[in-house]
Amino acid sequence: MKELVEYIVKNLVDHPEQVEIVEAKDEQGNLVLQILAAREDVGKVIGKNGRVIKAIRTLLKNQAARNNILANVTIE
Amino acid sequence: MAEIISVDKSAKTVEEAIIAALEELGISRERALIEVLEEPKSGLFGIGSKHALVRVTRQVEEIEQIEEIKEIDQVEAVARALLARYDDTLRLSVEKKGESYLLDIVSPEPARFIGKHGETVNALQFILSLLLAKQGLHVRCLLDSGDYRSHRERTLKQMARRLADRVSRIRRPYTMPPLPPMERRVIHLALQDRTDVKTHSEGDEPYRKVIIEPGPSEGLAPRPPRQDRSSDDRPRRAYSPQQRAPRYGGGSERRPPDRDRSYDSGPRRPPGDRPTGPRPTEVRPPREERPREEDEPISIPSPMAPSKKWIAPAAPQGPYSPKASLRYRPSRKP
Repeated sequence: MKELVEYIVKNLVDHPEQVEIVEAKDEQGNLVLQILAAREDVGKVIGKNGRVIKAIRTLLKNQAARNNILANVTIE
Repeated sequence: MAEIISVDKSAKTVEEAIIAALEELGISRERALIEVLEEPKSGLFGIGSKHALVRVTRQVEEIEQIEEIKEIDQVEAVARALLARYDDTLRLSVEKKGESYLLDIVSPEPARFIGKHGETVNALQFILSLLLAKQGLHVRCLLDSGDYRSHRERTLKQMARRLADRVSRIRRPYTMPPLPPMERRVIHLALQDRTDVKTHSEGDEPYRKVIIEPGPSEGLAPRPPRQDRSSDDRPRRAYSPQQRAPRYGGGSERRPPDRDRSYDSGPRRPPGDRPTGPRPTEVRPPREERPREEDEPISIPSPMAPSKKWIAPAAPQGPYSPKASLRYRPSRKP
Protein backbone atom coordinates (compact mmCIF):
# COMPACT_ATOMS: atom_id res chain seq x y z
CA MET A 1 0.00 0.00 0.00
CA LYS A 2 2.63 2.46 1.12
CA GLU A 3 5.01 1.16 -1.56
CA LEU A 4 2.40 1.85 -4.25
CA VAL A 5 1.90 5.46 -3.24
CA GLU A 6 5.60 5.95 -2.76
CA TYR A 7 6.41 4.53 -6.17
CA ILE A 8 3.84 6.65 -7.95
CA VAL A 9 4.74 9.88 -6.18
CA LYS A 10 8.50 9.43 -6.47
CA ASN A 11 8.20 8.83 -10.20
CA LEU A 12 6.04 11.89 -10.64
CA VAL A 13 7.97 14.67 -8.95
CA ASP A 14 11.16 16.54 -9.72
CA HIS A 15 12.72 15.94 -6.30
CA PRO A 16 12.03 12.30 -5.43
CA GLU A 17 14.59 12.40 -2.63
CA GLN A 18 12.39 14.82 -0.68
CA VAL A 19 9.33 12.60 -0.86
CA GLU A 20 8.27 10.91 2.32
CA ILE A 21 5.21 8.83 3.07
CA VAL A 22 4.03 8.75 6.66
CA GLU A 23 1.64 6.08 7.84
CA ALA A 24 -0.84 7.19 10.47
CA LYS A 25 -4.20 6.26 11.93
CA ASP A 26 -7.23 8.52 12.14
CA GLU A 27 -9.83 8.60 14.94
CA GLN A 28 -11.62 5.55 13.55
CA GLY A 29 -8.41 3.60 13.29
CA ASN A 30 -8.24 3.78 9.52
CA LEU A 31 -4.95 3.92 7.75
CA VAL A 32 -3.97 7.35 6.50
CA LEU A 33 -0.99 7.87 4.27
CA GLN A 34 0.48 11.31 4.41
CA ILE A 35 2.58 12.41 1.46
CA LEU A 36 5.34 14.87 2.22
CA ALA A 37 6.94 16.47 -0.79
CA ALA A 38 8.94 19.49 -1.80
CA ARG A 39 6.93 22.69 -2.08
CA GLU A 40 7.20 22.96 -5.83
CA ASP A 41 6.21 19.32 -6.25
CA VAL A 42 2.96 19.53 -4.31
CA GLY A 43 1.14 20.77 -7.38
CA LYS A 44 2.42 17.84 -9.40
CA VAL A 45 1.12 15.35 -6.87
CA ILE A 46 -2.29 17.01 -6.79
CA GLY A 47 -2.59 17.71 -10.49
CA LYS A 48 -4.92 19.94 -12.45
CA ASN A 49 -8.27 19.95 -10.65
CA GLY A 50 -6.90 17.26 -8.34
CA ARG A 51 -6.80 14.73 -11.14
CA VAL A 52 -3.62 13.01 -10.03
CA ILE A 53 -4.45 12.77 -6.36
CA LYS A 54 -7.95 11.60 -7.26
CA ALA A 55 -6.48 8.78 -9.33
CA ILE A 56 -4.07 7.84 -6.52
CA ARG A 57 -6.96 7.77 -4.04
CA THR A 58 -9.04 5.62 -6.38
CA LEU A 59 -6.27 3.05 -6.72
CA LEU A 60 -5.58 3.07 -3.01
CA LYS A 61 -9.24 2.69 -2.12
CA ASN A 62 -9.52 -0.21 -4.51
CA GLN A 63 -6.62 -2.03 -2.90
CA ALA A 64 -7.73 -1.09 0.59
CA ALA A 65 -11.21 -2.51 0.03
CA ARG A 66 -9.66 -5.81 -0.93
CA ASN A 67 -7.74 -5.95 2.32
CA ASN A 68 -10.70 -4.72 4.33
CA ILE A 69 -9.17 -1.51 5.50
CA LEU A 70 -9.92 2.09 4.75
CA ALA A 71 -7.16 4.30 3.49
CA ASN A 72 -6.89 7.95 2.75
CA VAL A 73 -4.18 10.20 1.44
CA THR A 74 -3.28 13.65 2.62
CA ILE A 75 -0.60 15.93 1.30
CA GLU A 76 1.66 18.34 3.04
CA MET B 1 23.59 -5.74 -33.28
CA ALA B 2 20.20 -4.75 -34.60
CA GLU B 3 20.84 -1.17 -33.64
CA ILE B 4 23.60 -0.46 -36.15
CA ILE B 5 22.23 2.13 -38.50
CA SER B 6 24.86 2.32 -41.18
CA VAL B 7 28.14 0.63 -42.16
CA ASP B 8 30.99 1.49 -44.47
CA LYS B 9 32.56 -1.37 -46.42
CA SER B 10 35.31 -1.53 -48.92
CA ALA B 11 35.94 -4.27 -51.47
CA LYS B 12 37.39 -4.75 -54.91
CA THR B 13 34.14 -3.90 -56.65
CA VAL B 14 31.11 -1.83 -55.67
CA GLU B 15 28.90 -4.89 -55.84
CA GLU B 16 31.04 -6.93 -53.48
CA ALA B 17 31.15 -4.10 -50.96
CA ILE B 18 27.38 -3.70 -51.00
CA ILE B 19 26.78 -7.39 -50.42
CA ALA B 20 29.21 -7.43 -47.52
CA ALA B 21 27.57 -4.40 -45.94
CA LEU B 22 24.03 -5.77 -46.33
CA GLU B 23 25.11 -8.98 -44.70
CA GLU B 24 26.53 -7.15 -41.75
CA LEU B 25 23.29 -5.20 -41.26
CA GLY B 26 21.22 -8.29 -41.87
CA ILE B 27 18.78 -6.57 -44.20
CA SER B 28 17.77 -6.95 -47.84
CA ARG B 29 18.73 -4.51 -50.59
CA GLU B 30 15.23 -2.97 -50.84
CA ARG B 31 15.35 -1.83 -47.23
CA ALA B 32 18.73 -0.15 -47.49
CA LEU B 33 20.04 3.16 -48.75
CA ILE B 34 23.27 2.67 -50.68
CA GLU B 35 25.84 5.40 -51.28
CA VAL B 36 29.00 4.84 -53.24
CA LEU B 37 31.68 6.89 -51.50
CA GLU B 38 34.59 5.87 -53.69
CA GLU B 39 34.61 4.21 -57.10
CA PRO B 40 37.22 1.51 -57.52
CA LYS B 41 40.23 2.25 -59.65
CA SER B 42 41.88 -0.61 -61.38
CA GLY B 43 45.21 1.23 -61.82
CA LEU B 44 47.92 -0.09 -64.00
CA PHE B 45 49.38 -3.51 -63.18
CA GLY B 46 48.15 -3.19 -59.62
CA ILE B 47 49.78 0.17 -59.11
CA GLY B 48 47.48 2.98 -57.93
CA SER B 49 44.46 0.67 -57.68
CA LYS B 50 41.82 1.55 -55.11
CA HIS B 51 39.07 -0.45 -53.47
CA ALA B 52 35.43 0.62 -53.77
CA LEU B 53 33.96 2.18 -50.63
CA VAL B 54 30.21 2.12 -50.03
CA ARG B 55 28.04 3.24 -47.19
CA VAL B 56 24.88 1.25 -46.59
CA THR B 57 22.25 2.81 -44.36
CA ARG B 58 19.06 1.37 -43.04
CA GLN B 59 16.01 3.06 -44.46
CA VAL B 60 14.05 5.40 -42.25
CA GLU B 61 11.23 2.95 -41.50
CA GLU B 62 13.80 0.44 -40.45
CA ILE B 63 15.23 2.87 -37.94
CA GLU B 64 11.78 3.76 -36.65
CA GLN B 65 10.96 0.12 -36.23
CA ILE B 66 13.97 -0.35 -34.00
CA GLU B 67 12.99 2.64 -31.92
CA GLU B 68 9.47 1.34 -31.57
CA ILE B 69 10.69 -1.99 -30.35
CA LYS B 70 12.70 -0.21 -27.71
CA GLU B 71 9.72 2.00 -26.82
CA ILE B 72 7.39 -0.92 -26.34
CA ASP B 73 9.88 -2.50 -23.96
CA GLN B 74 10.10 0.70 -21.96
CA VAL B 75 6.32 0.97 -21.78
CA GLU B 76 6.10 -2.59 -20.60
CA ALA B 77 8.82 -2.12 -17.99
CA VAL B 78 7.10 0.93 -16.49
CA ALA B 79 3.72 -0.80 -16.51
CA ARG B 80 5.13 -3.91 -14.86
CA ALA B 81 6.86 -1.88 -12.18
CA LEU B 82 3.61 -0.09 -11.37
CA LEU B 83 1.45 -3.19 -11.41
CA ALA B 84 3.86 -5.13 -9.22
CA ARG B 85 3.30 -2.57 -6.49
CA TYR B 86 -0.39 -2.30 -7.15
CA ASP B 87 -1.63 -5.86 -7.30
CA ASP B 88 0.59 -8.88 -7.81
CA THR B 89 -2.22 -11.10 -9.11
CA LEU B 90 -2.44 -9.22 -12.39
CA ARG B 91 -0.98 -10.52 -15.65
CA LEU B 92 0.04 -8.04 -18.33
CA SER B 93 0.57 -8.19 -22.07
CA VAL B 94 1.55 -5.23 -24.27
CA GLU B 95 0.77 -4.76 -27.93
CA LYS B 96 1.11 -1.86 -30.34
CA LYS B 97 -1.84 -0.86 -32.45
CA GLY B 98 -1.44 2.14 -34.70
CA GLU B 99 -0.18 5.06 -32.66
CA SER B 100 -1.19 3.72 -29.26
CA TYR B 101 -0.20 0.89 -27.00
CA LEU B 102 -2.74 -1.61 -25.83
CA LEU B 103 -2.07 -3.08 -22.43
CA ASP B 104 -4.24 -6.02 -21.63
CA ILE B 105 -4.50 -6.99 -18.02
CA VAL B 106 -5.83 -10.29 -16.84
CA SER B 107 -7.19 -10.15 -13.35
CA PRO B 108 -8.77 -12.89 -11.25
CA GLU B 109 -11.45 -10.37 -10.34
CA PRO B 110 -12.03 -8.27 -13.46
CA ALA B 111 -15.05 -6.47 -12.05
CA ARG B 112 -13.14 -5.15 -9.08
CA PHE B 113 -10.15 -4.31 -11.23
CA ILE B 114 -12.19 -2.30 -13.74
CA GLY B 115 -14.22 -0.48 -11.09
CA LYS B 116 -17.50 1.32 -11.54
CA HIS B 117 -17.66 2.62 -15.12
CA GLY B 118 -14.01 1.74 -15.51
CA GLU B 119 -13.06 4.12 -12.70
CA THR B 120 -10.11 2.09 -11.48
CA VAL B 121 -8.71 1.15 -14.90
CA ASN B 122 -8.97 4.77 -15.95
CA ALA B 123 -7.14 5.91 -12.80
CA LEU B 124 -4.42 3.35 -13.42
CA GLN B 125 -4.18 4.33 -17.07
CA PHE B 126 -3.88 8.00 -16.12
CA ILE B 127 -1.12 7.33 -13.59
CA LEU B 128 0.67 5.12 -16.09
CA SER B 129 0.61 7.77 -18.80
CA LEU B 130 1.98 10.29 -16.29
CA LEU B 131 4.82 7.98 -15.31
CA LEU B 132 5.60 7.32 -18.99
CA ALA B 133 5.58 11.04 -19.78
CA LYS B 134 8.05 11.59 -16.96
CA GLN B 135 10.32 9.06 -18.67
CA GLY B 136 10.04 11.03 -21.88
CA LEU B 137 7.58 8.64 -23.50
CA HIS B 138 4.69 10.71 -24.73
CA VAL B 139 2.54 7.91 -26.02
CA ARG B 140 -1.10 7.01 -25.85
CA CYS B 141 -1.61 3.88 -23.88
CA LEU B 142 -4.87 2.10 -23.33
CA LEU B 143 -5.44 -0.21 -20.43
CA ASP B 144 -7.95 -2.94 -20.99
CA SER B 145 -9.10 -5.91 -19.06
CA GLY B 146 -10.66 -8.73 -20.95
CA ASP B 147 -12.89 -7.20 -23.57
CA TYR B 148 -14.23 -4.38 -21.41
CA ARG B 149 -13.21 -1.57 -23.73
CA SER B 150 -13.90 -3.32 -27.00
CA HIS B 151 -17.34 -4.30 -25.74
CA ARG B 152 -18.02 -0.76 -24.62
CA GLU B 153 -16.83 0.60 -27.95
CA ARG B 154 -19.16 -1.71 -29.83
CA THR B 155 -22.06 -0.62 -27.64
CA LEU B 156 -21.26 3.07 -28.16
CA LYS B 157 -20.98 2.71 -31.92
CA GLN B 158 -24.28 0.91 -32.05
CA MET B 159 -25.90 3.61 -29.96
CA ALA B 160 -24.37 6.37 -32.13
CA ARG B 161 -25.69 4.84 -35.32
CA ARG B 162 -29.15 4.30 -33.91
CA LEU B 163 -29.41 7.85 -32.57
CA ALA B 164 -28.04 9.33 -35.79
CA ASP B 165 -30.70 7.52 -37.78
CA ARG B 166 -33.35 9.01 -35.58
CA VAL B 167 -31.90 12.53 -35.67
CA SER B 168 -31.77 12.39 -39.43
CA ARG B 169 -35.38 11.18 -39.51
CA ILE B 170 -36.97 13.59 -37.06
CA ARG B 171 -34.56 16.44 -37.94
CA ARG B 172 -34.04 17.65 -34.40
CA PRO B 173 -30.79 17.67 -32.45
CA TYR B 174 -30.34 15.06 -29.79
CA THR B 175 -28.19 15.44 -26.67
CA MET B 176 -26.52 12.29 -25.44
CA PRO B 177 -25.87 11.52 -21.79
CA PRO B 178 -22.56 12.80 -20.40
CA LEU B 179 -19.64 10.62 -21.45
CA PRO B 180 -15.92 10.64 -20.70
CA PRO B 181 -13.61 12.07 -23.42
CA MET B 182 -12.57 8.68 -24.78
CA GLU B 183 -16.14 7.57 -25.28
CA ARG B 184 -17.16 10.88 -26.87
CA ARG B 185 -14.32 10.36 -29.31
CA VAL B 186 -15.78 7.00 -30.28
CA ILE B 187 -19.14 8.66 -31.02
CA HIS B 188 -17.56 11.46 -33.09
CA LEU B 189 -15.49 8.97 -35.07
CA ALA B 190 -18.44 6.65 -35.64
CA LEU B 191 -20.48 9.48 -37.17
CA GLN B 192 -17.78 11.52 -38.92
CA ASP B 193 -18.45 9.97 -42.33
CA ARG B 194 -22.16 10.56 -42.25
CA THR B 195 -23.44 13.53 -44.20
CA ASP B 196 -26.93 13.52 -42.71
CA VAL B 197 -25.81 14.34 -39.16
CA LYS B 198 -23.19 16.50 -37.47
CA THR B 199 -21.75 16.04 -33.99
CA HIS B 200 -20.20 18.36 -31.47
CA SER B 201 -19.74 18.43 -27.70
CA GLU B 202 -21.03 20.89 -25.16
CA GLY B 203 -20.69 21.37 -21.45
CA ASP B 204 -17.91 21.11 -18.93
CA GLU B 205 -15.80 18.13 -18.28
CA PRO B 206 -17.40 15.58 -16.10
CA TYR B 207 -20.75 16.33 -17.74
CA ARG B 208 -19.65 17.10 -21.29
CA LYS B 209 -22.16 15.71 -23.74
CA VAL B 210 -22.17 14.90 -27.43
CA ILE B 211 -24.92 16.56 -29.42
CA ILE B 212 -26.02 14.94 -32.66
CA GLU B 213 -27.57 17.45 -35.03
CA PRO B 214 -29.23 16.98 -38.38
CA GLY B 215 -26.91 17.96 -41.19
CA PRO B 216 -27.68 20.51 -43.91
CA SER B 217 -31.03 19.61 -45.40
CA GLU B 218 -31.18 19.26 -49.17
CA GLY B 219 -34.35 20.88 -50.40
CA LEU B 220 -36.00 20.19 -47.09
CA ALA B 221 -37.13 23.13 -45.06
CA PRO B 222 -35.82 22.97 -41.51
CA ARG B 223 -38.41 21.64 -39.15
CA PRO B 224 -40.26 24.44 -37.39
CA PRO B 225 -39.49 24.86 -33.73
CA ARG B 226 -41.66 23.10 -31.23
CA GLN B 227 -45.02 24.76 -30.83
CA ASP B 228 -45.68 26.82 -27.79
CA ARG B 229 -48.41 24.91 -26.06
CA SER B 230 -48.63 27.11 -23.01
CA SER B 231 -51.75 28.89 -24.27
CA ASP B 232 -53.81 26.05 -25.67
CA ASP B 233 -56.40 24.40 -23.51
CA ARG B 234 -55.99 20.76 -24.37
CA PRO B 235 -56.85 18.51 -21.45
CA ARG B 236 -53.70 17.25 -19.92
CA ARG B 237 -52.96 14.43 -17.59
CA ALA B 238 -52.27 15.45 -14.03
CA TYR B 239 -48.58 15.38 -13.24
CA SER B 240 -47.48 12.45 -11.25
CA PRO B 241 -43.89 11.26 -11.32
CA GLN B 242 -44.84 7.60 -11.34
CA GLN B 243 -47.26 7.87 -14.24
CA ARG B 244 -45.18 10.05 -16.47
CA ALA B 245 -45.14 8.65 -19.94
CA PRO B 246 -41.70 7.50 -21.05
CA ARG B 247 -40.15 9.73 -23.63
CA TYR B 248 -39.62 8.34 -27.09
CA GLY B 249 -40.87 4.91 -26.27
CA GLY B 250 -38.75 3.42 -23.57
CA GLY B 251 -36.33 6.27 -23.10
CA SER B 252 -33.41 3.94 -22.68
CA GLU B 253 -31.13 6.52 -24.30
CA ARG B 254 -32.13 9.19 -21.83
CA ARG B 255 -30.99 7.34 -18.77
CA PRO B 256 -28.07 8.72 -16.81
CA PRO B 257 -24.77 7.06 -17.64
CA ASP B 258 -24.51 5.16 -14.40
CA ARG B 259 -27.06 2.70 -15.76
CA ASP B 260 -25.26 2.26 -19.01
CA ARG B 261 -26.04 -1.39 -19.48
CA SER B 262 -29.34 -0.14 -20.82
CA TYR B 263 -27.62 1.25 -23.91
CA ASP B 264 -27.14 -2.22 -25.15
CA SER B 265 -30.68 -2.88 -26.13
CA GLY B 266 -29.61 -4.97 -29.06
CA PRO B 267 -29.93 -4.34 -32.77
CA ARG B 268 -33.07 -2.63 -33.99
CA ARG B 269 -35.73 -4.64 -35.67
CA PRO B 270 -36.25 -3.73 -39.30
CA PRO B 271 -39.57 -1.85 -39.72
CA GLY B 272 -41.25 -4.69 -41.58
CA ASP B 273 -40.41 -7.24 -38.96
CA ARG B 274 -43.11 -6.39 -36.51
CA PRO B 275 -45.86 -8.65 -35.31
CA THR B 276 -49.10 -7.86 -37.08
CA GLY B 277 -52.61 -8.08 -35.79
CA PRO B 278 -54.11 -6.51 -32.73
CA ARG B 279 -51.90 -5.86 -29.79
CA PRO B 280 -52.44 -8.28 -26.93
CA THR B 281 -54.29 -6.48 -24.18
CA GLU B 282 -52.49 -6.36 -20.92
CA VAL B 283 -54.29 -7.93 -18.03
CA ARG B 284 -53.30 -6.29 -14.82
CA PRO B 285 -54.16 -7.76 -11.45
CA PRO B 286 -56.21 -5.38 -9.33
CA ARG B 287 -54.16 -3.35 -6.96
CA GLU B 288 -54.33 -4.31 -3.35
CA GLU B 289 -55.88 -1.57 -1.33
CA ARG B 290 -54.59 -1.00 2.14
CA PRO B 291 -57.46 -0.21 4.50
CA ARG B 292 -57.14 3.41 5.42
CA GLU B 293 -57.03 4.44 9.05
CA GLU B 294 -59.83 6.67 10.09
CA ASP B 295 -57.83 9.78 10.90
CA GLU B 296 -55.05 9.18 8.44
CA PRO B 297 -54.64 12.17 6.21
CA ILE B 298 -54.64 11.50 2.50
CA SER B 299 -51.24 12.55 1.34
CA ILE B 300 -50.24 12.88 -2.24
CA PRO B 301 -46.52 13.28 -2.69
CA SER B 302 -45.94 16.43 -4.65
CA PRO B 303 -42.83 16.64 -6.76
CA MET B 304 -42.41 20.24 -5.73
CA ALA B 305 -42.58 19.59 -1.98
CA PRO B 306 -39.25 19.71 -0.20
CA SER B 307 -37.99 16.24 0.42
CA LYS B 308 -38.26 15.03 3.93
CA LYS B 309 -35.09 15.73 5.80
CA TRP B 310 -33.38 12.57 6.85
CA ILE B 311 -30.88 12.25 9.59
CA ALA B 312 -27.73 10.49 8.53
CA PRO B 313 -27.41 7.19 10.34
CA ALA B 314 -24.42 6.54 12.51
CA ALA B 315 -21.26 5.65 10.65
CA PRO B 316 -20.68 1.91 10.41
CA GLN B 317 -18.32 0.56 12.97
CA GLY B 318 -15.77 -2.13 12.50
CA PRO B 319 -13.91 -3.18 9.37
CA TYR B 320 -15.06 -1.74 6.11
CA SER B 321 -16.82 -3.90 3.63
CA PRO B 322 -18.71 -2.79 0.54
CA LYS B 323 -21.80 -4.72 1.66
CA ALA B 324 -21.89 -2.81 4.92
CA SER B 325 -21.91 0.46 3.03
CA LEU B 326 -24.90 -0.72 1.05
CA ARG B 327 -26.73 -1.71 4.18
CA TYR B 328 -26.25 1.74 5.69
CA ARG B 329 -27.47 3.63 2.66
CA PRO B 330 -30.40 5.68 3.90
CA SER B 331 -33.67 4.98 2.19
CA ARG B 332 -35.27 7.87 0.34
CA LYS B 333 -38.75 6.58 1.02
CA PRO B 334 -40.18 7.81 4.27
